[in-house]
Amino acid sequence: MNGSSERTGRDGRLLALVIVVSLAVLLVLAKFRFPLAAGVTTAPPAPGLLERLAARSTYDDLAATIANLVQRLTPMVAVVQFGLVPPEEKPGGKKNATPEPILAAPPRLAAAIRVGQAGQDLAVTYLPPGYQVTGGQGLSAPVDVVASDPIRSIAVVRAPSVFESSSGTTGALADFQGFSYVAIVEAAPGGLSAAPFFLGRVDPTPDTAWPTPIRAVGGSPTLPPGALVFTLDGRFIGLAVPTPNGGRALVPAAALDAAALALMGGGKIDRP
Amino acid sequence: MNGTRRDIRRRELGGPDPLDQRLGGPPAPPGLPSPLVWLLSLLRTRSALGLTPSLTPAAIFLPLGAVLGPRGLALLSPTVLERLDVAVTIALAVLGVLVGVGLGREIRTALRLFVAASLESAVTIAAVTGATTYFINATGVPLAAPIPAFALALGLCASASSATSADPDSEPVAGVATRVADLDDVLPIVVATVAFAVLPSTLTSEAWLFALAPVAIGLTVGLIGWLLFERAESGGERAVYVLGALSLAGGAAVYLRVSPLAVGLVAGLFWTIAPGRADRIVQDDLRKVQHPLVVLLLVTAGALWAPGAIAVWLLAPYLLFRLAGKVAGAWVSAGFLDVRAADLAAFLMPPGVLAVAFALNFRQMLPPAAGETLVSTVAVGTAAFELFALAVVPHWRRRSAE
Repeated sequence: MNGSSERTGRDGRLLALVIVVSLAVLLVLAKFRFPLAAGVTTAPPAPGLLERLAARSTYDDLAATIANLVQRLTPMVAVVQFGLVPPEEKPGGKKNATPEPILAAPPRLAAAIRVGQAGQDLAVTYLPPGYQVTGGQGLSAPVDVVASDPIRSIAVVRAPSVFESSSGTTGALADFQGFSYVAIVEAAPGGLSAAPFFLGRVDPTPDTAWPTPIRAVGGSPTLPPGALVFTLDGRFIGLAVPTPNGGRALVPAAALDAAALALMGGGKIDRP
Repeated sequence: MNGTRRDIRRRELGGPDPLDQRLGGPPAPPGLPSPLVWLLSLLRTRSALGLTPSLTPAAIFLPLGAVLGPRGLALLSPTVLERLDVAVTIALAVLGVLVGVGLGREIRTALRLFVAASLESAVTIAAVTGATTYFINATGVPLAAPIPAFALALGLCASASSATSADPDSEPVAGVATRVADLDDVLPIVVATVAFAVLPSTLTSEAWLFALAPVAIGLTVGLIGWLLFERAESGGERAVYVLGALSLAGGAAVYLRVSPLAVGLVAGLFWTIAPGRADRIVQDDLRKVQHPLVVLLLVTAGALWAPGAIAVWLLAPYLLFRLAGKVAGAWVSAGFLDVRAADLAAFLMPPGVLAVAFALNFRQMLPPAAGETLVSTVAVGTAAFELFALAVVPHWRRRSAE
């Protein structure tokens, strides 16, 4: 019994010691005020020490999205080929004018967004000054140039597809606000190619050449002229064209549709 | 020992943990010498006897999760963790079932033990909740949740014990401690179910829904399982029924945003009390998935660990008063159990996976920032207590035994 009561007493002392020490430490710590600046942090967490070594699944997801997008856009986009316009054929141009250097080197291919109804096989492409459409790629019949507009640098072509083609401007995004990752679609010798691209500020800008406002892209002009810009879920945003001040703008689907319609009718483009 | 090596079992979630056996079980057959297996086995054997520190699942997989998580290698990105939330919820339901089965078996024969375990748990909850409330108010820690709700959540996490440092067959007090550790998880689940329905601004659901839905879902799942399990024509079919029932429990809990632990507890209790062998069938089949679930919960909690001043600040009341609460709780409940309070407290010191499970459960109920803080505090606290139990408790017990 003595041993038992001794051990109980030891347990009681141990309990009292633990509680007293805990209370004392808590009371001491409670004298300090929590540094608010440390607690109210809104900045994103700092990257981990080993983060750079890790595989980033988000990039994998983005790559898969872009690859999937190319498959989905194939019926909506045609690949056309450009050639230099012989000097005597340039409409109103000087005979020795040099072609735009950015597209002077091969491959001279461009992506053309399909417009109109499915059976019409019509597509609109950016046509740089000094060039003409000379052919197509992956098409079931030769390209037929319906009309070209050197002022707006676009051409309307009939490009019969081996696939069941569909309009790429249907369901287009009319009010793109910028600051978003998009896919830029271009032509490559093997077919369509696409890459993710971050578009920052995009401002609606009236342009007398187009029936609806185009969207001026802010920042450095890194967007390639003639590229077709889509959202990552496949909605058409616009055709990238150069602006007179050396920047880039996106011509939205409505403007392209109206321009193509007017060119095919041989009339003027109505402006609002 | 009679010259034969004893099967050193470590208790986690109411039974021998296959993970522990893998890490520290009997060595490979003599024909397959493996120095590493032998070394780990030796470590574990001596650890189970209280002679040397060894590794535990929480001490391994919580840091591993932190390394793999968004703040480490980012292999477990926030998107992956979000998608894992459903799996975590199902895992919580499974843990609830194991607790419920344990309760159903013990409540018939060991009501005294259940009362003692609940008392021990209640003392720890009160100690940590009270200390945390005082500390937050005194120091002005900015919390994105009601202070009573957060403090109670921390207290409930602190109450969990696993007695993982004990071989239940090594001595009588170890056997009692493992049973207490099995049963002291019931009270926190019940308290959480009731308290979070009553406390303001913690839930988006209606209070009555939160309180009653777990019981209704648990009974429904229990009834379905009871009708199906014993009618299965093959082991595979039976396993599909068991996993389907548990997925239903977890999925319904996710959908209604109620506690999956409570749902599992009710279902497990039903299977044990109802006539038939449903509880044994469930336990046998769950043994196959127990190890992956423990790893999933620990790695997820580690990956959710977000180092921050608030989480570190709250470690003080958590560590100090969990220790004090366990010692005081053991002292209160030792009178019911005819064991020494110091021995019982020593065995109850490791929180085990259930503390992490409680934190993951409460994270789903609290606002996101507060839930993240809670998981971070409990994850670090759990790892600290596991290491404390390994490094300090054996010496503590040896000295007290002298």
